[in-house]
Amino acid sequence: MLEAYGIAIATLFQPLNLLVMLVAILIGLIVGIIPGIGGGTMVVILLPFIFRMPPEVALILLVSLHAVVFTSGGITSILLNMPGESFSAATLLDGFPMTKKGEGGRAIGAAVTSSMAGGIVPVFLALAMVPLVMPIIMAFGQPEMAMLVLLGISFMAALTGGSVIKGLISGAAGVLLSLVGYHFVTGVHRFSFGTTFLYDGIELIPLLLGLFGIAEIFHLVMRGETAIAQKAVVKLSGVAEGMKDVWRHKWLWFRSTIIGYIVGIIPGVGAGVATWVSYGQAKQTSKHPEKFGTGVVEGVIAPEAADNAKEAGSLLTTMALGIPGSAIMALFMAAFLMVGVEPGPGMLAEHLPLALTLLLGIALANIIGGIICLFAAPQLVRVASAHLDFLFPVILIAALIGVYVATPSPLNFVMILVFGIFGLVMRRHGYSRPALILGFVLGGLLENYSLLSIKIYGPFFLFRPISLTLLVIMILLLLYPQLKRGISGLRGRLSGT
Amino acid sequence: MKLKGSFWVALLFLALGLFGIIQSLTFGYWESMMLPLGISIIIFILAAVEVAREFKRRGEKGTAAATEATAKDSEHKAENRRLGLIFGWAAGFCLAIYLLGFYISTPLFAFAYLKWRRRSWMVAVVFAIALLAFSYLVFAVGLKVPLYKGLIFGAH
Repeated sequence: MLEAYGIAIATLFQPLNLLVMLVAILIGLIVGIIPGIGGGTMVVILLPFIFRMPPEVALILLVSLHAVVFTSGGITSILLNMPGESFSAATLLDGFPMTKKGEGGRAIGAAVTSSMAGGIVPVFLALAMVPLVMPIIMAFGQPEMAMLVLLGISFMAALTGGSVIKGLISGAAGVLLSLVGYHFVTGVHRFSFGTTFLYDGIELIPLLLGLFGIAEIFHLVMRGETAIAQKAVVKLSGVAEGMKDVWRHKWLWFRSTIIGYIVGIIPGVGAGVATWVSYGQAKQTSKHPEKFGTGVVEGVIAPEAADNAKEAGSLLTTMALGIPGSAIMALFMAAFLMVGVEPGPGMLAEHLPLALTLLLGIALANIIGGIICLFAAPQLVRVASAHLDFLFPVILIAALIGVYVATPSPLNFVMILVFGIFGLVMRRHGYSRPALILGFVLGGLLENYSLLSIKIYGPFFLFRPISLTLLVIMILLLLYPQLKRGISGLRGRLSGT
Repeated sequence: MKLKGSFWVALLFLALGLFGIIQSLTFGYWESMMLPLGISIIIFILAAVEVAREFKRRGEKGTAAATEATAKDSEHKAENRRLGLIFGWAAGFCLAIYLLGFYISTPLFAFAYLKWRRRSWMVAVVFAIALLAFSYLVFAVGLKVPLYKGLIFGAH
């Protein structure tokens, strides 16, 4: 084992590999900042180029790129209220309000530090905890997965602040939208109105960019505002303050990192749920939960830590079990096979040094990427104080190019505008756009897992011990505000008598 | 009694739920029907609760709220006018991309928009060229992603 560690470190620090890593980090940071061009799109674009590369070089390239996309993606969420990926959406709930309050630098400092540290620690957890987590993974069958998806969506519903009902409606609408198109089990076309464009369903990128990016820019112009942030802080001191915030909230960061890591390990669910579950626990355990969504730094620290933390867990599951921990990990599986490495239970035995190289690569890429982001942050913060006359064309063009690159059909331009208006309506009337996105991302999984559960275990699959536990947690979570109000009311009455 | 936008949005979700239920019943197989039907029923019930709450809320506020709403009407009208204009620009740009492609419509849109916002000729031209150069260098040169060339100039 120690020998494998030695080989991994030596491989990682070879000049060529370090150079490849540096290039990948720069690409990853740029890709993360540009809204709509997610890490997944970039991995897909790079796949054809890795064929002739040695496995360790090719995989270091992809892993390093992917590792830092989340770090810089948080910056876009914070400054422009446009998540690069659905997973970054949790960050914008408090990150963007912080920018509006003139605390963009602080939010970036907190996000980058939390994300960077959140990406490093789980690597060592992954290396140490392999024997412990495997039995947990193996205990999760389809019913438990279905319940875990529902739990993730319920967390979102509970986070909408004002109304749990509106949150649930949004999450359910997201699931319904995810069901549009061809049903692979029966071949039925659902909600496609006979148009071939909708046969493959609604694409995520137009939905994401429409609901957040376009809706936000519509909102700003509609309100007659001239800039996203009138007094964006362009000082390194703001960034340093954000870094200190992570230390001040170290236990929150640690909890979020552990949550991200554990959720990341669970195959097929980790990507979307980690950030929201983490944000949820930050809000639920906070002394001032009512301030979440108005620009509190804890709301940035928690999702950013979980966002990056899940990657080590996700990669570990992909390599050890051959089960992709997320949609991007499915692309990584293709990359593994393309360079002649077969992920699965045999990989840790046959390619242990390579597996360790990749895990350590995530940690190193996070350190380098994080340092670059922190030094470039004051320049990045300037984006927020640009006049809306210039930002509107830039954001619109970036969004439309992003949509076209991800889904090359001009009809998606119509979709992005429709979702832009829909997002604006949701924003104005207190419906949760993140809940809708999460429902959309996890809707397909929910259907697969619930169908398989019914076929294998019958209609009473919910009553398996872990499923039942998750169900109870979900109900308690949804009823928590009422329970809390009831308990404090009872206390008030008791103290009064 | 004038009803707020929130009421109509809740009603929209109610209609979505109802539409989902009716459509789901036509899918034939229980496998295709189960989740859409279940989710549509959930949306329908929750939206009905929300509609009822909005209706009740409006009734409770009564005439005082109605007076306040009238005062806000002119503000809303101005906002809606701005939204209409900006949506028009966005839709026009999408149409331009569809017909002319990214490389022509990007500088054209940036220039026209800035001129409409009463920016100087110099600023509008420099910004339009910079935006085109950035898009071209990042996507066509850097990422080797061919951008859409439009219906007129040979869609890619």
